[in-house]
Amino acid sequence: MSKKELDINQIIKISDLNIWLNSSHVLKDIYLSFKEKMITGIIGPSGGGKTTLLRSINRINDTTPGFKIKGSILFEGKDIYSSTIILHQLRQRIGMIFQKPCVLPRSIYENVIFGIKMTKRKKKKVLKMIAEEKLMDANLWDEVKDRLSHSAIGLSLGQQQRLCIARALAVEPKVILMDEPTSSLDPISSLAIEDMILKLKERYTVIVVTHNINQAYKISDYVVFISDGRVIENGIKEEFFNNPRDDATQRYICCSSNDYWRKKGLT
Amino acid sequence: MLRIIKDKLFVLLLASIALTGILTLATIFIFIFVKGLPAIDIEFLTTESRDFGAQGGILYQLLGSIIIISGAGVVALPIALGTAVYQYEYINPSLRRISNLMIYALNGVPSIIFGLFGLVFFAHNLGLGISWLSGSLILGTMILPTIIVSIKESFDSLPVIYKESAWALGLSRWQVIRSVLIPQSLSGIITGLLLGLARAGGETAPIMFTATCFSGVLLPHSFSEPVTTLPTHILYLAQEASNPVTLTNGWGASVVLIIFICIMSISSMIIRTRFKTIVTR
Repeated sequence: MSKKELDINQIIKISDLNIWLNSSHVLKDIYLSFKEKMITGIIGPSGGGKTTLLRSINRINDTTPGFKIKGSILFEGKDIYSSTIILHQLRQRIGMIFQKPCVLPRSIYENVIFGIKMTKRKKKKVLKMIAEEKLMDANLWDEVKDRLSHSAIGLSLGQQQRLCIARALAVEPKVILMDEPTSSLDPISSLAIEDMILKLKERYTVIVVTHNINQAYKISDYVVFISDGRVIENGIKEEFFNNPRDDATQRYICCSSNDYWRKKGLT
Repeated sequence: MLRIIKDKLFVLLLASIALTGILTLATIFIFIFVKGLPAIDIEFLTTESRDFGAQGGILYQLLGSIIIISGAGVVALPIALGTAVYQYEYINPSLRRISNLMIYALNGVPSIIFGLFGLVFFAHNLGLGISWLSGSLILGTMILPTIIVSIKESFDSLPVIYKESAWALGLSRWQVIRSVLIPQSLSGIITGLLLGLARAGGETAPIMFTATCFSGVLLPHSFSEPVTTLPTHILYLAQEASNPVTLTNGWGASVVLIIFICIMSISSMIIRTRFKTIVTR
């Protein structure tokens, strides 16, 4: 098991993390760090603890019954589980995209500004500008610019997910957590979102949990393999996929899907 | 072959049981309507009651009922909403169990006890006297459990992803309640309110001696005046068994009361089924 840690630009640092959900030991002795403005992909078999890990980073797990945590998660040097942390302020800096897009039954515009309307109290003109900017970042502007006042429920699932991403971007977080963002979507929508994630790297740190090895290969700079609650292996993408050190890693990335990423090859 | 027969017999049994229930209800309705319809005409609905109910109509009784249950709704809704939100969001599980118990216990209190309590507490101790205000307060207290339970059901049926999405955007607890929880539960809130009002509209014992009087009252001019309501009017007329015209008027008032309550109950059912504010794909 590798405890490889990068020394520079560690925006999130996880040390000796152990998590229990209802007395089931879900995550064991996790040591990880995430570099700023990089995309980290977390892969691994179902039930291995990937989603639990992700959800602990913005503390959405706090309300899950039976949640118990030991160890530390540092965000910009501060322990996010310390009692001095204000939850909603933390979550304005660490945003999250869920597997199933969840839009409110209101207009598209209302949905985009939902996160900032109450919390940041800006003028209407500014809100409109932000909405347009973030919809463009999310690759959705062209499709909805003429119908911002229409209900968001009428959008396709892929469009709704991009709307959720625009909504999260509007809050201007530093880190964006994505929990299998394309697993509910068709291949074309998934492709659009993958392309968008690649562009996000310029301004945000992204951590993506995914079941799709091809996707992980395509978008990640850095890959983490979690199985049965432990980090089996982690590393820079090229090293990880070309020379996996662990047998389990080798088996996982080779037996899943059709090695498409391998055929693409590395120069 | 035997299984098919058993199946058919079972369906037959269920159908006859259901039919019994429906027929009982229909019989009551038909009985009341047959006895009461002769009394109903435009004059009945739009004039005041005269000659101890033998003449005239029930206009002020109808208005009195509307006034007193509106007051009950205004009192009960904020308290019910606040209680439901507090129970749902802020207290720990053991306290929640206790408060649940108390709400169900409140629901089981006999209506005459509410009447006595209203008389002693609102009318005497708080000095409100025999007034429609006392009546609204006691009716409001009585319908609290109905509304609270409906709102809580609505809260519980909201998929957790809605709240998680709002939390993930950095909204504070109160902001999530205000912008997601309550708006998405609006149909449950309105349904609960209408059900509560329907119940309040039919109650006699709680307001019999705290809020109403039979004669000499049209519309109240202040908070401290009593009203006359449909159920208490029916009670009075029913006791005048000697005068058949009065009795028929009593039946007529019963018909109006039933229609009044049915409108509210059916509206609450329509709102619950048609105006669900969560749309899933």
